[in-house]
Amino acid sequence: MAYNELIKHFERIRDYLHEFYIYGFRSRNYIKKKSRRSYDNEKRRLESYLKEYMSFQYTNSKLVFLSIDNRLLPHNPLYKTFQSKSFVDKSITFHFILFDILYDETIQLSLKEIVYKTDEYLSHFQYPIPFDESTIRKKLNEYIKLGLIQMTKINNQNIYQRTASFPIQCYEDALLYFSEVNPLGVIGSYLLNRIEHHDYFRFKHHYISYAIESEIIYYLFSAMQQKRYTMIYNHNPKTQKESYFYIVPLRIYISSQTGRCHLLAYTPRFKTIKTYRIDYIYKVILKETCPLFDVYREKLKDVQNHIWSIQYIPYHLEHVEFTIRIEKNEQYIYQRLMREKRIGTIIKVDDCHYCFQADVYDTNELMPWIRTFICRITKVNFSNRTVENRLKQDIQAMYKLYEIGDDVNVIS
Amino acid sequence: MLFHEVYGCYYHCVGEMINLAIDNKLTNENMLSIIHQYAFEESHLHIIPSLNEKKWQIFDKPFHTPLQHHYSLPLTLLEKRWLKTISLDPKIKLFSLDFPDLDNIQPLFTQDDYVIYDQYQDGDPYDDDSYQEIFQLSLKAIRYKKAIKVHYLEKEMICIPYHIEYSLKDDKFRLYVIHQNKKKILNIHKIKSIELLNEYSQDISIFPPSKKYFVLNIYDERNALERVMTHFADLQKQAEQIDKNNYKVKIYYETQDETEMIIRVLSFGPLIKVIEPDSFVKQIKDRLIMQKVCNLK
Repeated sequence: MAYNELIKHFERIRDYLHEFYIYGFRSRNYIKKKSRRSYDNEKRRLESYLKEYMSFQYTNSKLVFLSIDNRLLPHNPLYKTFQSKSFVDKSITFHFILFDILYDETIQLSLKEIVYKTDEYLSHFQYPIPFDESTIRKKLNEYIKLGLIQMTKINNQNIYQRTASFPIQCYEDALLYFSEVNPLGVIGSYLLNRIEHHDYFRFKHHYISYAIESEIIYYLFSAMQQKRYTMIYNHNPKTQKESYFYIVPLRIYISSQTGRCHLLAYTPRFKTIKTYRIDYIYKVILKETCPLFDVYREKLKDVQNHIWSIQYIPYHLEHVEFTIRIEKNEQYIYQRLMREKRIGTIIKVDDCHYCFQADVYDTNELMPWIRTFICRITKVNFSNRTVENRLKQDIQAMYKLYEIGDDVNVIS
Repeated sequence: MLFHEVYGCYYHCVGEMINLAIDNKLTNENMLSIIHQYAFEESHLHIIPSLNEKKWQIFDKPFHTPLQHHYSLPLTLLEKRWLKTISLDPKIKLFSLDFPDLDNIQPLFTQDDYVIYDQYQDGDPYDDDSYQEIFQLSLKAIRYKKAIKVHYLEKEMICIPYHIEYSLKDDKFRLYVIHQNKKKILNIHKIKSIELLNEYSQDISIFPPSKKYFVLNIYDERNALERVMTHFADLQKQAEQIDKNNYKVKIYYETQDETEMIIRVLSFGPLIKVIEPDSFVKQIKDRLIMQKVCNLK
């Protein structure tokens, strides 16, 4: 089939967006499940969508991926990829005719009148596209669902009119901000496309890749709002394994330090709450209402004080304790400890030592944070000795990596 | 439906073209410039022929349409539900807005449906009335190009604000200003008072950030590559694969964020190694030497 810039389903480019945006240098050979032509087409498509924001260069026959500083961006460039839905010629033609016929919200017309007026418009063309009543009715029903058109019954006849106008220019500042920080900010970007807007905001630590998951997140939020059982279909790109799970979505966990999103959901098969990577989910189907939704969510509330990041492992609390040295003139380190600890407590051991303590479901999740205190960790005590040993081994491995010899005590 | 053609850039372009055609202002040049502004790199190859060949029956003659009214589209239900959602967000107070027409609209989600689990705990005081006032005056000053007099950290200064930066991780807003021809970043919660002065007429030059870089070697074990690329996805970088499991990534950062970068690198432990510049490597080594002195057993 000839290359077309637009796509029918967003899922088609989701994998590629991950591969190109996060890794950039993935070659055709890496993306195994796709054909050669498909790889070339999707690469061309994404380069066209994101022309200013990512690029590839060959240096010494190696592919080098270049990305730009998100801090300079007032708008998430990945939102643009959501403006790529394909359509048929009839759809775009009828769309503009319809909103010209119903140009004012006071105009009320029957189906027959809309068909007549549509034909009148098209009579200006030498070979007018034929529209029958049923095509127009179908399109009107689609627009009623979208909320663009409303239908009322007058004298037993369906009457159509555009929905009431809703001025949004006054929301410009809020749209500029929330379209970048809201989990479904892409919809804010649709609203911004409708108005004149400026670029007053910038965003630091701006992880934009969550936008790729917008459709999936939208369905998961719908499931939560409607308190429904849900079927999710997963594809793990590393193992190439496909799986599906029947779950009750409870809450989306978003990282402000990676942009990655996870779903915590009650899983009836295991009778517990489990974690699912949202970038692995490729299909969501809402099922019947779950009468115990509030009970499950309450359970999540009970356990979340022991979840450092995203992992809940039932009946498996582990104790984590580590002490760091903070000199009297280093109160900013104490402040750092206080603002970065998500759970647990800080105990002052003496004038220069502070101890963090918490009971968590997965000690592993704290390792990256604990390592940020390297240069001042004086003691660790984990009930999970394997993880404790790994932390110590990691520090030893870093000494080796940076060639820190045994003579440092002498230097100090 | 979130992915629908009515939100698409092709519809957007055609709407803009209709408006110009009705005003008798449509030309080849502005058709191309609309496509360049709102659509994708290759879109002109599809949009222009579709219109010219009357596959899309919008223009019956060159630059002329039988449509009679400027194009406008009501909000979709999805867009109204999103507005309802932000109207329930605690930070909406910063913008002092009313949403009178959304009473019967359901939000897409609420604060109970998601959590930003690793956000810092000492975010700005969004509920504070004087914080809200300072935030709004800052925005107003930027919008109307006004200089401001601020009382900041026991000092009073006159400056020109040009944008507001938000960090989701820090949960803080910062005001970027030009003061005595230099860029300054003010924490909005530390501004005691703000007064709007006269409009400034001259063009302000926004200083490019002063940048440094470091280069990492990644050996891809324990999923290190994915973790590093995801974690540093917010920054400008160049990445290349050296061989099967080895990767080299050059990361650019703003000079004032150096300590943060060192901390971020340390969080990966031995999975990555900074190889240049020497000054950055030295700071990592210094921390490791200090750690060794801690005698962790």
